[in-house]
Amino acid sequence: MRPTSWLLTAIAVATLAAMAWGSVERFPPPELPADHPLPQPTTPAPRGGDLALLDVAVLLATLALASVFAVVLRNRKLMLATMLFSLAYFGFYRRGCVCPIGAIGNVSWALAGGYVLPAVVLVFFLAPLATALITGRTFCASVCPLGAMQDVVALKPVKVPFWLEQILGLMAYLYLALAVLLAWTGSGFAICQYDPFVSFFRLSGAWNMLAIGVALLAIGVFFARPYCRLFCPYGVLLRLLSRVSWKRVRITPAECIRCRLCEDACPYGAIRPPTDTRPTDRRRGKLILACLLALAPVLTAAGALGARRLSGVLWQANPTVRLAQRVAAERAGEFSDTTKASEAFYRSSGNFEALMAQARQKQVDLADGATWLGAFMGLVIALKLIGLHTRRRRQDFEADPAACLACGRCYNYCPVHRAHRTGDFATLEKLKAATSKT
Amino acid sequence: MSKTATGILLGLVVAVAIGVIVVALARFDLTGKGGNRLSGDFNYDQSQFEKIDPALIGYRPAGSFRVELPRPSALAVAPGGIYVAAEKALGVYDRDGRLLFQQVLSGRPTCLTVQGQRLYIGMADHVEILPAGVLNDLPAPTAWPKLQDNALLTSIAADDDAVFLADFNNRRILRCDLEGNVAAVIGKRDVENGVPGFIVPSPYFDLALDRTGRLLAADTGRHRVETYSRDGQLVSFWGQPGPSIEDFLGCCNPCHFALLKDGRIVTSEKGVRRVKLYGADGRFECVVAGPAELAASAPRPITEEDWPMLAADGLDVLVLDGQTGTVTRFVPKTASSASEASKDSGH
Amino acid sequence: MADEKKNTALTRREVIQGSLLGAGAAALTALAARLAVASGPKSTVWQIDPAKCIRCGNCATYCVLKPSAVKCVHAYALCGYCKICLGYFEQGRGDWSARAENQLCPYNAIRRLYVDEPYYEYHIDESLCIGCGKCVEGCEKSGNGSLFLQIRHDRCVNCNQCAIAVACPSGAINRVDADKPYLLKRKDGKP
Ligand code: SF4
Ligand code: SF4
Ligand code: SF4
Repeated sequence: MRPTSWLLTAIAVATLAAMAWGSVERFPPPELPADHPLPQPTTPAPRGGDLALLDVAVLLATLALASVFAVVLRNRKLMLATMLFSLAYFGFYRRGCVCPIGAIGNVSWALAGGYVLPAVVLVFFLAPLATALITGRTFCASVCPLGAMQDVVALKPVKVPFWLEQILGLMAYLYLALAVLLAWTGSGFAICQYDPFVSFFRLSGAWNMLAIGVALLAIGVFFARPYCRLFCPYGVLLRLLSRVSWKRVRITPAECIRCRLCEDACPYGAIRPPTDTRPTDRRRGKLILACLLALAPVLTAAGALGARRLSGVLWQANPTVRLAQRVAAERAGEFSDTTKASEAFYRSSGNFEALMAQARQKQVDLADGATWLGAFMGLVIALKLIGLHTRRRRQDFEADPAACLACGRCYNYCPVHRAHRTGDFATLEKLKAATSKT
Repeated sequence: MSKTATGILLGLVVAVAIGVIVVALARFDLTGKGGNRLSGDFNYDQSQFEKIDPALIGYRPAGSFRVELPRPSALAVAPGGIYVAAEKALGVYDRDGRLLFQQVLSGRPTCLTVQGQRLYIGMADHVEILPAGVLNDLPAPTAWPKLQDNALLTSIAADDDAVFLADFNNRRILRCDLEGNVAAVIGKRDVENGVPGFIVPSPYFDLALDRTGRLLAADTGRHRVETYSRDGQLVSFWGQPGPSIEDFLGCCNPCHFALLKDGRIVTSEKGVRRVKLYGADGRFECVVAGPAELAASAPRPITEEDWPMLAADGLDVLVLDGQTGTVTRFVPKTASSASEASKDSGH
Repeated sequence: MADEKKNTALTRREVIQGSLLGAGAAALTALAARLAVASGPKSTVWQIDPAKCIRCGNCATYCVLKPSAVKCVHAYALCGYCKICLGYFEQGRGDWSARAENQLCPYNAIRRLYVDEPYYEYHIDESLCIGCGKCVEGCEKSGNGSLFLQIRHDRCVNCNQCAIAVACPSGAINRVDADKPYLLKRKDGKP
């Protein structure tokens, strides 16, 4: 990575120097009348740095408010208001960029030495993660504009089989790994290129993305927040941290009376019922666990090898490799014409050997990266299987910390919560009595 | 809504949505493979000028050679050989392209001419002189003093009495004596005396002396070749901008020109790469070489070196392509020159 | 007895949870520290390097904005103020009058002002220009190359991944420091 970027910089500097040298005094101004000043091209400034600070401030404030509203005040209305504000600010006012999800690309690229990560992007990337560690995925509930977009259309959520969501949810892991790999190798920020909702925020963009956005929203009417649950690469990180978070959304503020009222409350299917208390066959369970544990390295290795073999597909994602392949083919006489890219390469009087060397390096990087990607996916699948097998014992109705988006919709289903809000404990007692009878 | 109805609706919506996503992804052109999708109106298209009626072409190429010099910048022909100036170097070649002699120079000349025993080398802001015809042990060049006013020389011509320098930066021509003293400034705008003043928008400003000792200069902004008396009176001019073959294309042409020994004029243009021949009175005669004959080897950025540099060798035309360092000789199709005929029989 | 058991179970769970939380915090801190090393205070914006741009036309159509945030910019100091500007006139149309059909720009986005015989000044009307680069090509091929394309930051929304940069065949679009957002062509060739 580093040597190549150095090389590129050196070439760029040399080119600039040559340009500067070559055009010295080539253009004396024409003899214009003295009263006619030579105009200067205008240079409208980009959005100012203090406004970027405002973005950071708004991010931190909304994260803090979302957390307080979700975990301390347990107030769904305030959370909804925060969400709508964030949708307006980060979505329609800031038009979607920069966002923590896309920042995965920036971070990966910066880690690979591609560029200096702007501090603002760093904060956007880290703040929601840090928040997840404290209060769970409150970012998803009330700050993320992509989430908000889908949240407002989740009108008729249906229950999806648990296993199906688990399997489909693997796509997010794959997406994350691919996005990191592509950004790492300087092949572009896939998450941003395929952002389904950003064209809504900008009210323009390629029809493809708009169509995908609309389609996802249509699915989202029934399957709430499909992007969040099946694709979001940032969600993968949030899940991980939210799982160990210090505080998180609890359906009930006090003890669960197992009234089952909240069972269907969650549009995202994050509420898990109490586990069976019937005795299970422990020996059989242990055997399966042992098998799964043994399977983990096998899956990891298989993933690594398999992905490495398939890594050629990824080469096409890298512009340097694409160009090198094309130029090589043109030189071999496979094409009689040029592409715009190869034409640009010839015009730049580029060095073919250097291009090939760069491309080979990228191919190596991509193949290595694909190996890691495959290993990662193998491991994820193995861990998923183990996780599914070793279900945690639950006595209460609980929100799965990884899947819970901290939206607080379940609060009002919980009679305990309602009693705490209204102070009407009599109704609660009656209910308690009724449930314990059954 | 009943449960089955919801189910059917759900299934339908999801199926259609997934279909839409698949199609949209498949037809997504992120990398620009499909081109810019702009209509033909957006093409900058010069092809109508690049196709030249073969009947108009009166010359044919008769051999070429490569000069192994960095960034060639000027071309001159003298009885002693073909002179090519380049970055800090001068090469002298015989007509078959054999290197006779190579000399290190102090800079990159912008123009060259040989007159009698003198080789005049125009550096950007001064002139250096070397003995012409001497092919070894050259003395250090004599340098004339640096010119005033940030001068940038683009062309040089000389006879037994005077040296004429085209100064692009000041849009003027300097007439110097043989010691390098400026004797007159020619071509400065002087409406009362009928001198319009040169309009030279880009750094191509060529001049030459005709057989009667009058000065020819390219007024490129007006797309014409002007004839001046030696004291700076505008005598005549010809040429106009236009799309037809006898006119000049582009914003400022001809960028280079040279005089054949019979007084006819060959011109080269920037924009559309072509070399044409005009009578001494400016009547269009034929095309020496069009874009096809002068084809660039590969697409490349357009630079000063890009447009054909010219020199006349008797009735032959020599064209130097600065990018590839190729000198090509074009000979008349009909009456071939004597030397050319003898060369042909040798094959 | 049952109560005791419950208590220890809870404690064990708490311990596990606490150490996991600690591990998470530690991992996140380590990542933050590593990223802090790779980060700097400056924001970035997208910029076209005119020396690399080949005027492919993608700038007009791949920008997420319609019309594109890329516009033609005129480096007046490089301009020859030509009467016959090949960035302005469609060559071969005829009489070099400023009639609309003689103009090269499909949107007639270039204004031609008479300065003094024979000089004309050319201005880009950015509200009409779509950044197709046709005039840039004309000026580059026949003129001084004083026209060039730039991303105009009063319009650009600074996408985290510029859609044109992905489609640019010459790699001319890159992130640069936000305090030097433009690469203007200058007389001395320096940016
Ligand atoms: S996409 Fe790149 S090459 Fe094409 S016009 Fe834009 S900057 Fe120039
Ligand atoms: S020709 Fe294209 S780039 Fe030039 S001014 Fe018109 S729209 Fe803009
Ligand atoms: S960053 Fe976005 S708005 Fe700006 S030029 Fe690129 S695609 Fe257009």
